[in-house]
Amino acid sequence: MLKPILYYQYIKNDLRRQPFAKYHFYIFCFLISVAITAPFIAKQPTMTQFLPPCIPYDAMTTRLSDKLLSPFDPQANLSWYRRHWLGTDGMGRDIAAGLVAGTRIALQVGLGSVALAAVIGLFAGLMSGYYGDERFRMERRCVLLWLLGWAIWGFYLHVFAQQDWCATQFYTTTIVFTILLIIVLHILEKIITSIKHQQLVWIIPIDYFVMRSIDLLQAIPFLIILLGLMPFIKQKSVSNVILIIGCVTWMPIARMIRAQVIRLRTRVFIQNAEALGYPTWRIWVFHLIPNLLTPLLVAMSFGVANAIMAEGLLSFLGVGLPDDLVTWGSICQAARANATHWWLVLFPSGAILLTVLIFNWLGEHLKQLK
Amino acid sequence: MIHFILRRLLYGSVVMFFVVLIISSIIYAAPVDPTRMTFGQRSDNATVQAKRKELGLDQPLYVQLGMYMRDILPLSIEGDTPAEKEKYQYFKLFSVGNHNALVFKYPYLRESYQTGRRVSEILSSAIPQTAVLALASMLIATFLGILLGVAAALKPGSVFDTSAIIASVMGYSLPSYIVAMMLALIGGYWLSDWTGLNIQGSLFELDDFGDNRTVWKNLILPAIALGIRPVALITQLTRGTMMDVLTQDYVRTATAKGLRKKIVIFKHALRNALNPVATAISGWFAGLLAGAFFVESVFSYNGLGQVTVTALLNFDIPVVLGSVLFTALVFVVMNVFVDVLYALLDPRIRLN
Repeated sequence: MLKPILYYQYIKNDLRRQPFAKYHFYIFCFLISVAITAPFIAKQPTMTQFLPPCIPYDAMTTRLSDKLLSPFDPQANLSWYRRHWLGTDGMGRDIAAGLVAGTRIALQVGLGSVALAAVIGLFAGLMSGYYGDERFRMERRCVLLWLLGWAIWGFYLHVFAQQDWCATQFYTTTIVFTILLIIVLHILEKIITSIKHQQLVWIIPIDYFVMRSIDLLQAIPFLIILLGLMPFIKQKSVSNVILIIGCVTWMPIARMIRAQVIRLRTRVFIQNAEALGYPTWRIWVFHLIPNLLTPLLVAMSFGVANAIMAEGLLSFLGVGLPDDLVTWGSICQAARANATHWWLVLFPSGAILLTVLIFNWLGEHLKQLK
Repeated sequence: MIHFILRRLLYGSVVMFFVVLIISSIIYAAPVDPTRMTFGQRSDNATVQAKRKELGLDQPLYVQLGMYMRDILPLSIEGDTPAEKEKYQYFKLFSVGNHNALVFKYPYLRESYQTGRRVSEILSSAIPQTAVLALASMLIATFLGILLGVAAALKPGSVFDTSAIIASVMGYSLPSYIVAMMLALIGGYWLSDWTGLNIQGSLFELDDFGDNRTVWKNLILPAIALGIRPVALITQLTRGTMMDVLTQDYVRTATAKGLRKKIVIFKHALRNALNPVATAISGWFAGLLAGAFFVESVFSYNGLGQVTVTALLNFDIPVVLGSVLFTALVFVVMNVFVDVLYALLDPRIRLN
């Protein structure tokens, strides 16, 4: 008898067979744990502390007395523990502490924006792949209802965005409002359709709309859209960068999901589920999405690599992220004034290279699963 | 074939129309006041109001959108007065009514907030330098990438093949600005006595007498920095297609009939392996413009990217939008060109 196994066990078993996958996975875990424990690894030691931190400096602390120290400087006035092993930047901030703080931000931006891109891409890909051009039917009154709903949403954005666009509170309110609006519209739709009345049924070519909008967004290189959107942010913050990178990189994921769904739709198990009269959400959640997980993970790990690179570029140019935040890109930027400070370039770029490589390799390993 | 090209061109122009629509609608979401950006904090109210009227900021949103679209379109109806003529620098086709005329003009991209110069003027001085840079790096990438890819495909699994693959994954994972800074440090500073290259500088520079001078050696480092990523991609692509082609029957036939190995590889195999590579190369050419943004700002190479990044840091929105628009235009035109090229190279595409 076949024993069902969990998805993560399936991945684990398959990754074991590949020679280097284990080590790449360990480095990935190391990066994640550094990102999580970053505030404890690098901070100012206090007297009452039981365990002293690895790096006795904060990423933000400026000490103008020892600015621009190279790693090979004697640093005679500093003890072994307080020595700047990777040097300092122009404001006397420790580079090692900056790298640790930068890991946190890079992974936050990378994973966060890819999660957003995956949600948008999964939804768009499922809609266009599952319904195609002919299968999405809606009564005219329901179409009008939904259009009205989205008009209300746009009006809300228009009014609310004038005041505090890009504040954290704005996101929370918008998400709650959107979810509530969707629920209310669904209930209204149920009520309306329960009234028996001869109505025109519209066939909406969802596939056409989604694919044309993807074409449109891919007409411009994504870094250019990113740069073009940056001056329109009122307030620099990490969540804005996550939002914008996520909204700009979902297109390849949606394309890939659409292709997979079109392939799966003709398979017997989906047709059986349709014949049994399962609701669409059930077919999606229990039958389609489990089969889409592996290609989605592959696309996501390449996406993380791209997003981390994009974040590095943005903070290197000094746009998007807050100015007082220490990231890999902003450490590199400090070396632009004077290229002789090689330690400001070498260590953060090594960190970016390592992270991007690890995510690219993990993607390659996951690709071998099928 | 003509039908195919026309259809692609029409599709490209529709895409371009929507790009312009999106760009002109986000210009009004900007968090800065254009009049204050132009005149500074201290300016009298009358000047500010006059500028607001000129930019149409006192009009409703859809009118502003329409004004921006009208400025950008090459064929439009403008007022037939000397002032308008100087603003748009148009070529009058014929009069419409008493005061207007149908005109043909370059897209008017407004004026820079910071310097007051026309954006088209700023861009047209920057674009040639970027074009030369992109062309040079693409040449390096094509030559090196195809050579490495063919060499790797000839002996799959060998030490050279494995190291070429690892190097290309590394090259693909390196952001271009990091490569640029490393090259600037190594080639322009540590080895500068030996190479004679500068850390910073652009293609056209002013000499001591105030004349423009072309300094070709300033092109070397940026072109290599920009070319690393395409080299990695082209190597992998060439290796993949070349390995496919080498297993096919006609290559075996050519070898069996006693042709020399050089002729089999370069004349029979490579020519067929290059179809996807050729289209990919022309597709990435437009993508190189995006990469040039960062490389140029590292080397202070006075091209499109340098101009855009400076404008971005100063909230000089017309310049940013102008260059985004230009890049999008290049990208769309390139996409159409790639489709046509693919159809030319591979007749099977045309029939579908």
